[in-house]
Amino acid sequence: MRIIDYVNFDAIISLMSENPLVPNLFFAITDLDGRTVVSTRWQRVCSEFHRKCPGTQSLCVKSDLVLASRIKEGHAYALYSCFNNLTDAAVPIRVEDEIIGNLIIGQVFIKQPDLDFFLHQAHTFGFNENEYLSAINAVPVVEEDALRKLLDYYSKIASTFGMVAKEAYRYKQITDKLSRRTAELEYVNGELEAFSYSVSHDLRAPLRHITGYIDLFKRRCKEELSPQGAHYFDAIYDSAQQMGVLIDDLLQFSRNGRAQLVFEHVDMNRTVREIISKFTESHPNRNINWHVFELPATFGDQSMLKFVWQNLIDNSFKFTRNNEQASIEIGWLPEEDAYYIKDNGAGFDMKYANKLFGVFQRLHTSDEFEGTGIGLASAKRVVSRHGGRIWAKAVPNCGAAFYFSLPGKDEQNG
Amino acid sequence: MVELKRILLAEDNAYDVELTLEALSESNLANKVDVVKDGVQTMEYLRYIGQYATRERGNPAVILLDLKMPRQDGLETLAEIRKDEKLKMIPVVILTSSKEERDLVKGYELGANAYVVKPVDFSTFRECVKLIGGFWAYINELPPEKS
Repeated sequence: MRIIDYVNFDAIISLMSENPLVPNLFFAITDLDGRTVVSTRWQRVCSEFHRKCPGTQSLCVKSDLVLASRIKEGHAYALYSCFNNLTDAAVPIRVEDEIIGNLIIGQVFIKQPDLDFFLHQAHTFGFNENEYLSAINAVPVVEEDALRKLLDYYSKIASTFGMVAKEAYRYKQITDKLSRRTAELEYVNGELEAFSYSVSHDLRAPLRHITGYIDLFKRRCKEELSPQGAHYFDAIYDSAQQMGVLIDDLLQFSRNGRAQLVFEHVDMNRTVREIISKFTESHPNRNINWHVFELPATFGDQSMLKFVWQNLIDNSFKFTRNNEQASIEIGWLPEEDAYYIKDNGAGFDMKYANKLFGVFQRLHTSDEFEGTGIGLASAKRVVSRHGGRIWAKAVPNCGAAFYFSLPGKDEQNG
Repeated sequence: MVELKRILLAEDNAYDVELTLEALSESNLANKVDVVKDGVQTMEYLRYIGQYATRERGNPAVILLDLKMPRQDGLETLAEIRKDEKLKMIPVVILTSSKEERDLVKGYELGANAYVVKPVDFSTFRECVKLIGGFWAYINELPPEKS
């Protein structure tokens, strides 16, 4: 597609043909190859006589070519009286530094027509004399000076339309590029999808077999196993299990990065309440002081945001395990525009805060607190994809606080 | 005595077959378990075709169906079972490695009776298989079978 193809011809025709000075002025726009892309108000003398009859038509074509070549030579405009004695004028249509086509107006007489000449034409080419002369009489007479002014004015209009067309052309190029990129991304995403599907199936199976056979061996062939051997088997079993957790977490991480976000109104109070009640149900022995304050609603992906809370609450839950009296506080910090969760658990050294949200990064050993180092990375990914920010403050052995802000705070429902 | 209905295990991986059979054997089920290796064999078994032409008559009490199998996978097999007038009421439990949401949705759409993700931890897996076997072989009331 070329710029000229984006010109709004309907608008240009209606604007140009409503010229009150010369209401029936012919005009046309040709592309750089000389093809007419739009034309209107043909003079009958041209369309029904000169261009229909082979003898006169050759004269029309000749004058088209002369006009076009003059424009090509770089003339600002060309005025040309055709061999059939009518005058056409042409200007290049410039958009910035580029010529996108030519504007032609004309099919006019620049002085009163010589009727004898046309009578002669009628005889030579066998036109019906009366009809031919009435067509000649309909041709407007526009003096050369006026024709130039009209041409000048029309070319400005054409350039303006050209400018708009160029914008449309650029826009189309950008959207084309975007849709190509989108298609590529969709393809890559599909590949990733297939890959992670295969991982979740095929990588877990051997782990299940390892733990399965160790379990069987330990129960069926106990007597063949020394305490040392039993320890080795325990290590293998634990490792296989740990790898299973890792695979699940990694898959979740990758899913959080790829899955399409479905934005909707999210009641954060309810989300948090649900998670906490599940926790307390499944861990009746943990004694935790929960302080949950009113949370504003937001606009985001319900399940993804639930995942974020799940991870943060999970963390606080885990790292307060050794506290005699664990305390977890959840609330909203207006000055930071952020949700927060604070605990009095193990905390961490702020020196390593930059590692907190990295994949596979851990600030505690597995002996102290189990984990894969993916949870917070995954949470950060979700928050980032919502256009938000997540950060933390902590003091070792005194607790940690996590904050996250989301730009989509639901104002109406908040 | 009426012969107890069989349990059909459709699973291509030999280790999974062995471990599942071990777990089932620990649940003291009196039902015999037959094993098929993929969807094609599952259908041959159910329709008494080829090597299964002379097997005992009757639909299994339950089919434990793996999803990822060669030739014809679990979901394709489930779809075929549900389209077959004689087979469509057999309880089918999908027993698979992964909790992929699209498999879950597709499985239930096609009319699975249950969807179980095999846990990596074997003791949990064992408990799981025991529960499934016990429920479908003892507790569950089977649909009447047209002959």
